[in-house]
Amino acid sequence: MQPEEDRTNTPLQALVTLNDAVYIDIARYFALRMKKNGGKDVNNQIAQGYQWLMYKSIPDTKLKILGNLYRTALNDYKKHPDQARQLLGGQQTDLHPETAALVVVANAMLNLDEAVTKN
Amino acid sequence: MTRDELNAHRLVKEAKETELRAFTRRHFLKESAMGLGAVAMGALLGSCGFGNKSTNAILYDPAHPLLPKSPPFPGKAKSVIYLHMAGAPSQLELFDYKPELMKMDGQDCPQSLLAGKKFAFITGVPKMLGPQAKFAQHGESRAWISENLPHFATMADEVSFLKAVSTDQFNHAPAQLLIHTGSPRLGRPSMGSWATYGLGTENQNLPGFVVLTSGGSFPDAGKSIWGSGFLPSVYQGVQCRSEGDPVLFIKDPQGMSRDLRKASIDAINASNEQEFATYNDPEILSRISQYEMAYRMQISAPEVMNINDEPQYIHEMYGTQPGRSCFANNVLLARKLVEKGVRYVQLFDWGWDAHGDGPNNSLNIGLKNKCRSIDKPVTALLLDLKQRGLLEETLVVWGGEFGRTPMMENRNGVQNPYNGRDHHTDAFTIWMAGGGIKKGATYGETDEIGYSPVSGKVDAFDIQATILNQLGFDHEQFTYPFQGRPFRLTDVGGKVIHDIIA
Repeated sequence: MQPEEDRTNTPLQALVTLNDAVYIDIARYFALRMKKNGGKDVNNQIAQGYQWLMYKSIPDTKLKILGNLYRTALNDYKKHPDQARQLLGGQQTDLHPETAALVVVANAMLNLDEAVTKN
Repeated sequence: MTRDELNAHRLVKEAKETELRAFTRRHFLKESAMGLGAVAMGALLGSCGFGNKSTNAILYDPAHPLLPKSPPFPGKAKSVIYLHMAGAPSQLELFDYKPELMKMDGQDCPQSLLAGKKFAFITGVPKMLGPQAKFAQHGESRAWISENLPHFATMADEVSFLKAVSTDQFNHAPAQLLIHTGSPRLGRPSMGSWATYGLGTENQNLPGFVVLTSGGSFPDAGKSIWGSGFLPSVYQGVQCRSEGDPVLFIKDPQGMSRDLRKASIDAINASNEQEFATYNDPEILSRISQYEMAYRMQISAPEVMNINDEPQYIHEMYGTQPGRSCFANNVLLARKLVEKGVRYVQLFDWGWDAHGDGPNNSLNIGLKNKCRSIDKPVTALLLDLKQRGLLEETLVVWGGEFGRTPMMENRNGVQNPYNGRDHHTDAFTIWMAGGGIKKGATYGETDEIGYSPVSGKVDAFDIQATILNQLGFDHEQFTYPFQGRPFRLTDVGGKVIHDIIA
């Protein structure tokens, strides 16, 4: 039997990767990169982001899930542009609701099991 | 389903899981040799009828791992508050009154006590050290309690003292691990993990197993002491803070509404369900339930874990220091959590290691200060649980990881500058209260200098067996299969201490 590290899989860990300012900052710049280099269509952007993150293509079901999250977030930020600006705080060049919605998606992507688990 | 069918079903399920694990990319390299071997072994043992008796009937439901479950028999205790004084408080200055030891004060330790013994620090011939506190008998039970715990002395008739607890570990970390996980080495599940694995928890908005620390340091054993070992990781203790936000990062990021946070956690979990469908790794289900818990905690924890809303008389009773991190705040929090249906609350208070190598580590200064910091809160906890009708169903345990020597410590053969005692494995005191434990009882006795047990000797396994018994488990039947054999908290030891059960 090999010695094994105890796994960490607690709600506290989830809260760190969801809410810690560092993770939000990573999500911001990840979203900006997806928007800039991921193609025109938001589905392409998410798919490209997943490819960068996991070195494999995104399964259709997951793309659909994340696409839905994007649309939910976009509706919200169109109604509340001030919230979008808050989420995008720090960088000042791109404060569009679309970008904020993509940050929400990027934050979710960085929390996927495959992203936080060492494979 | 009969019990045998249930067991067979479980074995098959487990074998399938192991097999899948061996074939998935994430586990192939690491575990294929062991995993396939275990499958074959499991099949062999299963066909011999081996292991059927001891495999527990509790089925772990990965999708709802914390739903409340009934124990195998009705337990007197629904929840546990374990107060661990990390560093090991001196029984000789608190509960184990030894006037004979006073007569030997300052004399060289007799060779008969040293022959064949090993100590953490004592070398050569140390001096004997009489009790460094005045004792009196309290309550109808006439329990001896020292002047160091004047408030607690009024609780003499509520608790059962175990006066002859012994261990085989004389260093803090392994001794702490032994008490809480049943093994002095890392890797076994802690008692709180076993309890939540077996019973789930009553409040689905809070973790079932909460850990609170005070005293400025973690226990020496580190976070493994509330780890889940080989149990699913959803059962590991969740450490909360008693100052500021109850847990870090409980607030949503600026600009993300609660609804959006909910939507994004739903998306993460939906995606992770896809991941589980592909890989069948039960840890993914744990992650899903932990993200759900994280969200529910964001909503409920700030309120439950805020002691500021408690009335003034409660604050005075516990001696809390709102806004600061301290034992008293943690004890009040423990009561709130148990009241809200948390199964197991584990407190560690660091700083009880009275060697005498400095004032804060001495029996006459440091220990007295530590006692002052716990005396009121511990007393208040028992009274408060009682007045709420919760003491009967809440098992409160107080103790350290070992005892202190009747000899004064002489580190490297040189007497320490302050009065202090070395680690002692043979005899120390732990008390329990509530949860179906006798009131005003004492079990076990040490010799006239408190060096060795003369009757009623118990060890960590006996304490664990008793705690599990109060929760409704037979510690010999409460097992989890791992590495091809059933494991239990009490390993191959443990006898329920019936003498302290009401």
